[in-house]
Amino acid sequence: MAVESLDLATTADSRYALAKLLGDLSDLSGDRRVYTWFGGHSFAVQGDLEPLRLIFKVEGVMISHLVDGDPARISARQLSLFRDAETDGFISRWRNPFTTNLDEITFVEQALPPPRLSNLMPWFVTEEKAVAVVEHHREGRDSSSQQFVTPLRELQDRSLTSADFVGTWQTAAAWWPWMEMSSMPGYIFTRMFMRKYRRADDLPMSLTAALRDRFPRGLE
Amino acid sequence: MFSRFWTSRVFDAERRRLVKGGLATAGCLAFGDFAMADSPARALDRQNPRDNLHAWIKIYSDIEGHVDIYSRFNGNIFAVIGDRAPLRPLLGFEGFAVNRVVPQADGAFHAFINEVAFYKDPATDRIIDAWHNPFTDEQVEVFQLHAGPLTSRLDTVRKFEQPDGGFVERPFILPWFVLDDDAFISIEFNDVRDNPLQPDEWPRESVGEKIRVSESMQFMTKTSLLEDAAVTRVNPTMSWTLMRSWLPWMLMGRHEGHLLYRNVVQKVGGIDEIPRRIVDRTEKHFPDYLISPPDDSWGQFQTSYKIFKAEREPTR
Repeated sequence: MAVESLDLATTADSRYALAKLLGDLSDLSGDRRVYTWFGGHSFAVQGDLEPLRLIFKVEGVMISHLVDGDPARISARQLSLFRDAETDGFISRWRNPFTTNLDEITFVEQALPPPRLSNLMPWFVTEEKAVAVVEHHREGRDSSSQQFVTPLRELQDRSLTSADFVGTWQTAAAWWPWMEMSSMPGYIFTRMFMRKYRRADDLPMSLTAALRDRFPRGLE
Repeated sequence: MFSRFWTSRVFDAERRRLVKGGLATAGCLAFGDFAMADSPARALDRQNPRDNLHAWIKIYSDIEGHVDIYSRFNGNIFAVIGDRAPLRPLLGFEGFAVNRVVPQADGAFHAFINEVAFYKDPATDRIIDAWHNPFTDEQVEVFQLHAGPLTSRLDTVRKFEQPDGGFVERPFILPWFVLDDDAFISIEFNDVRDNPLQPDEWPRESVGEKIRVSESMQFMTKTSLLEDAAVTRVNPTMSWTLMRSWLPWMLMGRHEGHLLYRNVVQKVGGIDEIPRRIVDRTEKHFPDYLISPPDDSWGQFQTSYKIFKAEREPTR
């Protein structure tokens, strides 16, 4: 095991570590994908004193890779599906409790901003683990914070070109356009778990089947 | 902060309120483990309340009990104004929780918890005692978080308060999500309740007659460790997200907006794994909170709001 010192306070080692999480350093052509399963719950947030309201569940995959094999350039996109909050089944239409309309869900592949470590708390490190915090906060209520939890030894071991993780992800985002909320006040708060897979074939089968039905490009 | 946690399926969270006597606590998470012996693993029955309770105690504390268990956390607090503006980082937030569980003759556990956290300048990462409120352009005195004793009974049955004031009992089943050996558990609490600081008495500290407290604790751990009878505790990592009304010491009154906390929490091996500056500061200002509350504190539930109310006077 080629364990060397890893100083996550430096830009170089931080970039190296993040590239091992969301890509594979042996991938010199940029062809190898990392598949991050995610799943969780979405809540409507209205006003400052109303209780959060569960509206649906989400599940999907984030696909990331190193552009041209460059550890400094990580590209990521997201395929999201929705599940009924009560029955847990994948849905293509959603009964909007605010408008009472039955909304047709539009499934759109989303390009994510290039993943960047938080400038507030990029790493949380303990004796055994490292947690990378990747986040952005933009106009239009577009906030995302991901926490990637990995064994510290996997980051320190320079003979490993990729490091596994589990993690959590929280977003605060405007209503989805297909919800047709018009000027209805509020936004969506979603909190999810994540898990890294190195091959699309290893993702949960129920998810991959549902993804192929709704995203023609699928997991390419 | 980790003051009151109700484990419930998220679907239940909006409809029912788990009253004291259910689950209260903090958490931790994954990859590592502690005590190991060559005892065979036993399958964890995730539909069995007893198995769920024991798994939860291993996640949260130590199944053998009587020992102080520490979780350290670090994160940031953002202001959320309206529905479109970007989240605005206001403060850093760092501290720890210490708990001890005591097994009871009937199979339940009594939990004793203390919590301490300090607010920080997000730019310098230094603990602050005064904060310039950017919304009111006023310098305010920080009230560092200290909560406890927080005591609760953890049992195979949870009690939920009903709208008519009655109670219903439900078996204690965690909201598991399992992928191979990875177990994911979300503990949710979502409520709007009476503000302990009513605006007629606390006009500057109070956001109104009600406050919103919505918390999510996302635990990640390994089922193989939970199934191993020789492992008395696991050390999960966790994300703790809190959406709540302005803090009283911010003197925001009824100003529009609320707070969103994003924290990482790690259960650690002991107080020596808590950052030195946090321990030193606690020793100086809140020495009683370095360890879990004593047995004779059973029944107490001193939230940060109650303590604020006892230690501060209304600002005029």
